[in-house]
Amino acid sequence: MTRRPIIKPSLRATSTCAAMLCALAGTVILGPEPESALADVLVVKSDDLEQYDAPIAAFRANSSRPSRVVDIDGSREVGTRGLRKAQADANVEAVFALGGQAAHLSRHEMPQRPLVFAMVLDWQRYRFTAPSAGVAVEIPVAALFTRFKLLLPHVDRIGVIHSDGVSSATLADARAAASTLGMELVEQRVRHGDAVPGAYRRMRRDLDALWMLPDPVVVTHENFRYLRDRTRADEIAFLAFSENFVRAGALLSVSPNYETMGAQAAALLENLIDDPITPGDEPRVQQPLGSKLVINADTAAAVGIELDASLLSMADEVVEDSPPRR
Amino acid sequence: MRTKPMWHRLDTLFLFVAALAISVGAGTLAPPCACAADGEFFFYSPQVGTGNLSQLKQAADRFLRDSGTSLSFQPFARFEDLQREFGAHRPAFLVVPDWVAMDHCLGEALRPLARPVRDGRVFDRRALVATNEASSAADIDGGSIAATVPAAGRGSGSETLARFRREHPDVRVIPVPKDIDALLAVGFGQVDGAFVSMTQFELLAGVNPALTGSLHEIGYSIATPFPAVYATQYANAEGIAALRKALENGGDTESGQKIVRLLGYDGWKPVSEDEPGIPAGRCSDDAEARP
Repeated sequence: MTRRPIIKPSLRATSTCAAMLCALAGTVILGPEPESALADVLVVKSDDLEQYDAPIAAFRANSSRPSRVVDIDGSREVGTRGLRKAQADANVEAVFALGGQAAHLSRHEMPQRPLVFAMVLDWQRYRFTAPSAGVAVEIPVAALFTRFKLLLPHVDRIGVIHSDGVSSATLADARAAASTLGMELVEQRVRHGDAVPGAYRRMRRDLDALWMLPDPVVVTHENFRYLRDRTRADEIAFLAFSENFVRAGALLSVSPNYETMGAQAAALLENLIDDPITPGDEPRVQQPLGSKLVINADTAAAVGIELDASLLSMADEVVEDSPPRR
Repeated sequence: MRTKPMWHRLDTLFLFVAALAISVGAGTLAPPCACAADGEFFFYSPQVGTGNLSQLKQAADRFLRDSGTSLSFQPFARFEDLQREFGAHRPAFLVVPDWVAMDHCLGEALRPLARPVRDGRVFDRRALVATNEASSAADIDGGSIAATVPAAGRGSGSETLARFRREHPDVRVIPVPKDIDALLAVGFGQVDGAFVSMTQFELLAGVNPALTGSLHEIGYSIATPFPAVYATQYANAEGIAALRKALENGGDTESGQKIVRLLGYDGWKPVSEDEPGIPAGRCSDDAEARP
């Protein structure tokens, strides 16, 4: 019988093998951090809306922190599942929420995380608890009126038709802003939408411009068409709050620039993380820094306003074709 | 009564037909345009909003037509588009910013013909402004400024902004679409500073002096010349003379006045014919602007 030779490993081979085993063990013990330990910023959007794309892109371009997007798809159930999964997948450092639903749900699911919100209508009603910050949707009246005066230096009397739903603070701000700029605010209050034409007729002789507030009592389809047609005929500048009205025949609109909101949100998030708000403090809310100006060239011609360099240098878009009036 | 001989009537008929043939032939063979300047006129200026280019084109085409040229005006929203189309279309004239012309890849040479003038100046100035509480840029360290992000290029303001970022790395720069946005942001206390055009600052001061009265410059100033009119290698002497004359007389016509108003200028200042052209800069081998 032949015995198998006993092969004794060399010292070098033994050492090499041991080193490899140690390296392998080290990789397991000390290797790359598991994903759950990485800190992410969650970008939570209320729905898959095109308007959210630009601010999200700007946020990511202006933030050095890694982020991932969660779309709550307009549903509390879907959103809750998505946010809980996101928290399980990664350590959430902070949240950037777009839209009221996304912001409200994020605060509910992650009450301790820094939250920055944007594109939330009437953010005060959500009562976001600290630590929170945000970018408001509304351009402050003083900044709005300054832009109006830059664009239309001839405007001395600016009219507004409003219901009781418009806050007294907004109207007070408007009066103060007009006064600062050497303008006069001419007001007509209405209780219901049917009263708008009469209100306009009472004030039209005193006006250079008519300022449209986002007031659902005043702004109906019929009232908009009436005011659009009458201001054109009376050569009064009709100033809207949304570009959709400009495309339908109003003279111009000044609205927030959504892309800038994303950049602002990135800066607010850094501040919030570096300088946390004391619990109980109000959210740090900034007004939108960027604006979008849209002008209707047909309406400008109709009311005798020349599109000069001053107007055009500030205009983001000039609408030339208005849809046919019914 | 003596009648004219047949051959005489035939001669007359022949002469008539010959005259007719000559006039038709002359019309057929003549150059399609007897205008002094024809071709394309390219335009790019970051000071003109991209939403306004169709308005500008309408006004410019009319001005060029009224001036007796057959130039076709083509504005571009992005310089990259102008550069790409340059080689294919070979425009005779251009309006481009100084920082493009000084280091251009637009043919062999650009010859300045005229510079726009505003308030007696041929340049704008950008500067960092802050509230009166800040005496220097160091006072806004740790804060934020709003700024339009100028295109890259010497004299565009981008280098000045980049220098500011290097020297004040703790200041966050928030990009905004327009100078007026940046000015209102600092004026209403939303940010600590704004890097803006001083022309826009003066415009705002005319409307809201209370706001601008609380602001002042704290440095990082740079002069940015207005975009000038240049002739490319594809312009001939006749065309150049015609355009010079059109710009010189522009203030006499309604369309000429309209175009300067649209661009925000007061008029055009001719450049001396002795001023040399600007040779092309260091262009990459695949520069599409090279014909």
